[in-house]
Amino acid sequence: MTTTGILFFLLLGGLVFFAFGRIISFTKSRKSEMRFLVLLYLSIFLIGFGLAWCYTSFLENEPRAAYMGLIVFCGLGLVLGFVGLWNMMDSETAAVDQVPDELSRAISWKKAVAAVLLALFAITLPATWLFKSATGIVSDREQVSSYLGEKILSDKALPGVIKKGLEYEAWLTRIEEPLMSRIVKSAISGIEPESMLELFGYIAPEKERLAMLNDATTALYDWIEGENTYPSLTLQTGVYLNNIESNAENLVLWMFKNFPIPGCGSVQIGELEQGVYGNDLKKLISCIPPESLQKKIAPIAAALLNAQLAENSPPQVVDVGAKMKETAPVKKITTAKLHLNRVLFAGSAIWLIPVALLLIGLGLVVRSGKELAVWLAWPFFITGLLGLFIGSRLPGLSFLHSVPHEAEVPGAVVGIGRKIGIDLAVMLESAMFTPFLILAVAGGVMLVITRREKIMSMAVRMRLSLGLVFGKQAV
Amino acid sequence: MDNSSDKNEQEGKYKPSRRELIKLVSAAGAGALVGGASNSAMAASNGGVSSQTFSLFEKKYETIDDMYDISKDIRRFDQKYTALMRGMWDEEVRPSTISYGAKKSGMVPFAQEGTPGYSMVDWALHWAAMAGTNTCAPLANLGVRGAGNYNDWSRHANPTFKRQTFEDKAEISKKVKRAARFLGASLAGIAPYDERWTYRKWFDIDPSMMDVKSMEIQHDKMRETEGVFPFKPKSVIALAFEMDYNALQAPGFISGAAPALAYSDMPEVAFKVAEFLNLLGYKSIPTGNDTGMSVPIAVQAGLGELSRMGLLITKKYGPRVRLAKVYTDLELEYDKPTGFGVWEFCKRCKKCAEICPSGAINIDRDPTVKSSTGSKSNNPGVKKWFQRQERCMLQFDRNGGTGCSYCITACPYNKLDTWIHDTAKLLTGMPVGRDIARQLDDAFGYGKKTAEAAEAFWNKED
Ligand code: SF4
Ligand code: SF4
Repeated sequence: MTTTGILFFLLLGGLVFFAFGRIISFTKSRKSEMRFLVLLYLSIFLIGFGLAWCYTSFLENEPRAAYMGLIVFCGLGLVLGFVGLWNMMDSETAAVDQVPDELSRAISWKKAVAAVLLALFAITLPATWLFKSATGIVSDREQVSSYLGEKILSDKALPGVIKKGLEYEAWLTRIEEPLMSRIVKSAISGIEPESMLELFGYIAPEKERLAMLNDATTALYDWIEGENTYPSLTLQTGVYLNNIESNAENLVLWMFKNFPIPGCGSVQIGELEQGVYGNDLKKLISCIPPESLQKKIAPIAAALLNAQLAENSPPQVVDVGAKMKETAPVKKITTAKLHLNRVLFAGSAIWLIPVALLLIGLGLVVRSGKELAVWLAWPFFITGLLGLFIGSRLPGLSFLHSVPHEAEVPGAVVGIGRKIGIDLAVMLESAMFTPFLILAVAGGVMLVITRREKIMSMAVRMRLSLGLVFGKQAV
Repeated sequence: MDNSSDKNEQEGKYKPSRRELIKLVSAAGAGALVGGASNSAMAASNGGVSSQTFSLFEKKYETIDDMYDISKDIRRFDQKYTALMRGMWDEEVRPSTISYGAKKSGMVPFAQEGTPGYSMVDWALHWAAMAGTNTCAPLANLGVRGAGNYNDWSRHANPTFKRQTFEDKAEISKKVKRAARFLGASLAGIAPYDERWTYRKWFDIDPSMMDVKSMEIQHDKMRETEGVFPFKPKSVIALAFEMDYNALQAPGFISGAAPALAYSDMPEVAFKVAEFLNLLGYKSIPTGNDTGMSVPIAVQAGLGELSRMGLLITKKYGPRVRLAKVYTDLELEYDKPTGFGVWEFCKRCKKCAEICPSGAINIDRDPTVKSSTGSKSNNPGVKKWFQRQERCMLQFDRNGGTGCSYCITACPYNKLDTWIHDTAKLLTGMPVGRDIARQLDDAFGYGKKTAEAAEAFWNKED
């Protein structure tokens, strides 16, 4: 226990005892109901407990538990204290006031329905707005294209994306996976980002990657928005094959430099020194020869690589539309397209439902400007706060910290998908922030204005009661 | 045999004594708000009163058979089938084990390199923590028996000192446990020797086969020996070793360093306890993961309860312990198996099973006598939750060779022994409270491994 800890707990203990003592002397002189007294004691206990919890949790290195303790225990304590004090003061004034008019307390059915509708508005608006913003981002071809270009495929971003993919590939290895494949994945993950870029420079330089991305997004969005059943998308793979062919020698040298495979044994080195290279590319590059031999082996291995490419003759162009035609029947593809368009449309329009609920609710009860402010205040305030919370990174934190579980898709897809998901969440945060901040502030201001008198009288009573509890000079 | 969980339910309605209630109140409640609570607030390292909260509803049993449903025909298990040993010979587990070993030893790179918990400094910490066992009891962590200076069976089974006699069994038992704790164990208890928990065959491997470069199964370096002690043990001293709470919150090698350190302590302390018994003239065998199953012995020694994830849950540290044991022919007074509601809590909690990234932990609500997991590493005959232990090896590999322990970290019983957890501990003893305790544990964010915890671990000051 540090000196700070001892001081903290002594101080806290002292304050709690002091507060208890003041409550006792405050309530002695008045005939307050027992339940309100209990609330006050409980309040002080909870606030003290919350502070002690928070401090100890920080010492345990559990920051979230510390904040939660503060919110839950101290928050509850404050609410209970407030309710206790309020009611105590209220019951005292009620004794001298007239019995309230029963009729004026009655809530008409219209008010009840309006309250339900406004509550629904407050709860559903943030979710629907989030959905609207998400579909808005996804359906904006410019935004998607520039995001993928900048954050995924650019030279700056690509090594990080590959690393993420590999990380998840490793995370989601399956028990059946053979040792060799595990070792190869491990080896790839050891390649430095600059070396990755060098490799991409040989096969698909940034300019060519971005051009292909541009073609792909244009074709896909034309297809989604247009009438065609299949997209007219043709990928020019020949460019990359030509790159491999012309850079084959560099690729072999790159592999010797960057791929963490074992060095060649003395027998292999002897054979290579005598110029016995063989025709097996895999065997030739299965170990790293001494640097003096690498330059000699590179053209041989490059020739073997090109010969293999020529033998397998991979396609120079890939017609994605034609491929889809082969695998997916018209009906399936039109239904999928229809669903996609419906989701996008729903996304753009669904937020109108809570707005309609709001208008109906207001229509039922609002007859004047003042009433409008009264009825709008709390739904705006609540929906604003809720929207700010949903849009913040807080809910996403659990997702970020969650442990990935085995999925049907390859690990790399999960990793890159997760990265895109997190980027999307950040974009959504900014889309949600401004409108919901405005709503929260507007709601808050209206709350203060419409309940001004009540708040004032409450403040006076509070002051009075705090003065009685803690001594007049304290207030 | 009765279903032990039902028994817990019926007989577990334990009425706390007045003294215990007073103890609880002073630990959990009002005392916390005054200066006096400050001492218990940071009792984590030197033992506070907090873990005694469980005493309010604990139940002591005469034998382990009264506590759990154990079949009369239970067979002794062959060590060869433990997940760690299967990594040596079983093609289902070998790829994970070799790849895990290669990553851990730095022979091949892995994807997480450089991320929090996976730096060179973290790696060095892990290996430094492991150095004790690597040097003095090689491969004891895998379950290799009798290797290294600390595990010399011939020395401890043949003491040269004159045999002392003790009139008062209770007195010498108390002293043996005190000595064990003084010599470095976090918890110590005494169980009767029960042959059922000794491996039917011990699986001995030559340490040289751990050279991960070898891709072939080296049959000539593995040997099975009948599980027969060189003397007839009468008592087993069960030892538990606490693992660092904050290290386990971090990912990667920092997290792995926590069990690694315990693995280093285990053979050293077991060796010292064996030496203590030798000096009194009694034969002893110090063991760690080898020779016999540690969990049932620890349960018999009253150290804790069996949990869903198959690990021992202790009152003070939850599952955050490693176990060792010392067999001896000194007859001692045995501790009683003690339940404090873990079994019932596990039925509802399932947090370890939900978080386990490899799906190794059984998620069914109720335990069973027979295994339906298909894992060779299961030993049927005891009503419990059966696991797929080999999948842990897969996870060790996925984690860049750093081990895993997500389940231990996540378990709601894994808390520091401080007063703030007393309320939750009380809740675990009440039927309705269990669900609340489980939900609150999540809401308060306990049990997660986070990148920030890696930094916090290194920044921690005493
Ligand atoms: S150590 Fe990891 S893989 Fe094994 S049971 Fe625990 S969480 Fe699952
Ligand atoms: S996490 Fe929950 S279910 Fe698993 S062992 Fe701990 S208490 Fe039992």
